[in-house]
Amino acid sequence: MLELENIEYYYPSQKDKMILDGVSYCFEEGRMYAVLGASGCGKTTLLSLMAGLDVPVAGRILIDGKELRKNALNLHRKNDVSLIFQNYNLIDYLKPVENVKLGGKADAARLLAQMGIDAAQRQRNVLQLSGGQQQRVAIARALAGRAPVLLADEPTGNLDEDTANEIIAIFRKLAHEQGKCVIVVTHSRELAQQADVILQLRKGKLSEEACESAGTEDETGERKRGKTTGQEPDGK
Amino acid sequence: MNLFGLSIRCLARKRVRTLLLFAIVFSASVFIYAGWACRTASVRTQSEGKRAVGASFRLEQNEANRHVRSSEALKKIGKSTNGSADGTHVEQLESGAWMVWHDHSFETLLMDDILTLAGQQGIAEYDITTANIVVELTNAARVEDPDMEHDREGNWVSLRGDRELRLNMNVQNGNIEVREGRMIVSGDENVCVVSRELAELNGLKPGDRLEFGERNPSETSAAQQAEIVGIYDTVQKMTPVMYGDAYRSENIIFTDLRFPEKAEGREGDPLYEYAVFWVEDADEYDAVKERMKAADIAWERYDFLDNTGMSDTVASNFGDMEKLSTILLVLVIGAGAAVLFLVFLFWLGSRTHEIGVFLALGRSKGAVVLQMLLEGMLIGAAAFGLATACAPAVSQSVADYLVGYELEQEVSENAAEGLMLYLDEGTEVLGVEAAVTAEVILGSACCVLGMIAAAVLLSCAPLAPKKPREILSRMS
Repeated sequence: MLELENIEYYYPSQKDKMILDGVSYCFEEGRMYAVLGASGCGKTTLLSLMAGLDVPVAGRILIDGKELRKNALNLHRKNDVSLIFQNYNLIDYLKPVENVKLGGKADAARLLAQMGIDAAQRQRNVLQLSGGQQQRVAIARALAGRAPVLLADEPTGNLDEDTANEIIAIFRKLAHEQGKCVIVVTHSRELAQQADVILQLRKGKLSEEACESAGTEDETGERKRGKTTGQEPDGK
Repeated sequence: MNLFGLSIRCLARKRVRTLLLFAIVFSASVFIYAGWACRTASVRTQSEGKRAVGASFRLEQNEANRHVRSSEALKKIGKSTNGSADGTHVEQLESGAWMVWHDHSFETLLMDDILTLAGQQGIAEYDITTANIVVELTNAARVEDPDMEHDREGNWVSLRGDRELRLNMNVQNGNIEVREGRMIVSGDENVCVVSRELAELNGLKPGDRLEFGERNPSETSAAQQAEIVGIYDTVQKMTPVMYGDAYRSENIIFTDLRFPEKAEGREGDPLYEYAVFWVEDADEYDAVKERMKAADIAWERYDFLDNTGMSDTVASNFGDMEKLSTILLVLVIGAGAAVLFLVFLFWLGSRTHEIGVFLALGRSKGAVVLQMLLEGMLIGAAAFGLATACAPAVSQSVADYLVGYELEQEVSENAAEGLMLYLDEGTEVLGVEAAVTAEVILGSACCVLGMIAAAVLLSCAPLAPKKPREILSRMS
């Protein structure tokens, strides 16, 4: 589905400090991944590269085996991935339905209904909705494009615990019932525990951790995992 | 959701921002309109004693243009140089002083232009009148004021050539009547009509011949003879154009059109002072006027007076009005563009969040810029539409102010050179007509929409090299 091959990245102003140092990993559909790491370790950078918002200094990103081209990143953002942000990033002059329509041509009202946004809430200004409701609208917008990969950057960072759990439940459902590849960047271990695969980003390297409480089992009874490529998983 | 729908929703739901931008674009549009309209404004003047009679129009030289042409010719000749250019001559006198003079080719109405106007649909007939040409009457005595000093001039009289004497303004307004003999008609050569007083003084009658010579004859000068075909009476003496018996009413001799130039030894170098065009159907007067004004002639050289004495003089002939309106236009466009640029820059800055989201959703930068441009154009179109409705009144006010300013400069004793009004004596400025024509609308629209497009594109330029991630990080 989404494959990283020896991704390197550093900021132009700090060339001696590698943010990502030869990261390789293959994300698969139907799973929810959590990327854990300390603040400033490069989690959001990794997400930005996967979303096509930035380009790596070295290495390749492949989607269904095809390498991302620099001049087609907007098409990648439009067709292959959907982004969900901590601060929702809804367009404030559009109603929830109109915001969802920005994401794609899917039935906006149906998507919002699936996300628990009722008809009256759909016609309000998005800023009049609660944080949880706004994030649901943002998820509906992400789903409207029917992209196979959902990238979420601290999606529950602004939400209370109950709402955060509801949002995570939605992500799990999207991965397991709709076959999406959901990649969530977070610094919350509790949230990460809900993922099928936990990835740790440390010193520019990405490694897989064992999941303890959440995750699903496949037909053979083994816990579903992603796989690192081109390097030995750290800590395994 | 398409760009148009998105733009409309943005403008409708961000009302304060939209209204602010609308007000700025509207203000800039109105002033741009005023600048354009003033550049092409018509200054309405009325000249005492100079007007067409009945259903006719009068064409005569424009004083401001005369001044401009003279200045251009002097530039061509060069400073402190004897020489000639375009009918202007510079000559250093023995005293060392410089003399500038113009020949008839500089001063005359152009025959081609007269014929073009005469050929317009609705013109029945026309007359051409020469300037007052002073010559020596060699075989008869002129009428003289016994109390006047005559040592410095000879037996000088005035010749006035007419193509068709019955169409002469003095005949048309009833001041002159030919009671003996006949009028001069088109095609006559070497004929004249003299005053009753001159005829009686010399015992002249139709069929007699008068002989004229140059005022300052040279060895090659030859006398010219004209046959008297009529004798005229006046109700009121004609106003002399200058002081002296040569110009007095009784000594004005009307001749055929080409005779005065022969008599002064300049055959082929006529000096036509004005032309009058008579309308075939008086009911069509205004329509004919518009047709004539649309004729392709050197209008900048002329004043075109109707039968009310009104003269539509283009702004360029009215002192520095064109210069002032151009300055106004440039200042408004410059200031408007700067303000719009800053407003759009501020506007765009407040929309970084939105732009980042659009980019994250897969829109290209081009599509984002196009949306900003579309929003700007929608506001511009609405503001420009309202400005178009207000433009006539505002343009008129600005034009009135500029003309008022020009007149103040005129009366000011120390008016700077170049701010003078070149109006004939007795000419009254009645007002200005700053018409908002299709040309003005088109010019203003191009300015306003061009300014908005430039402001949007310049404001968006900093986004071009930025990665979407940088824009997103700016918003957070």
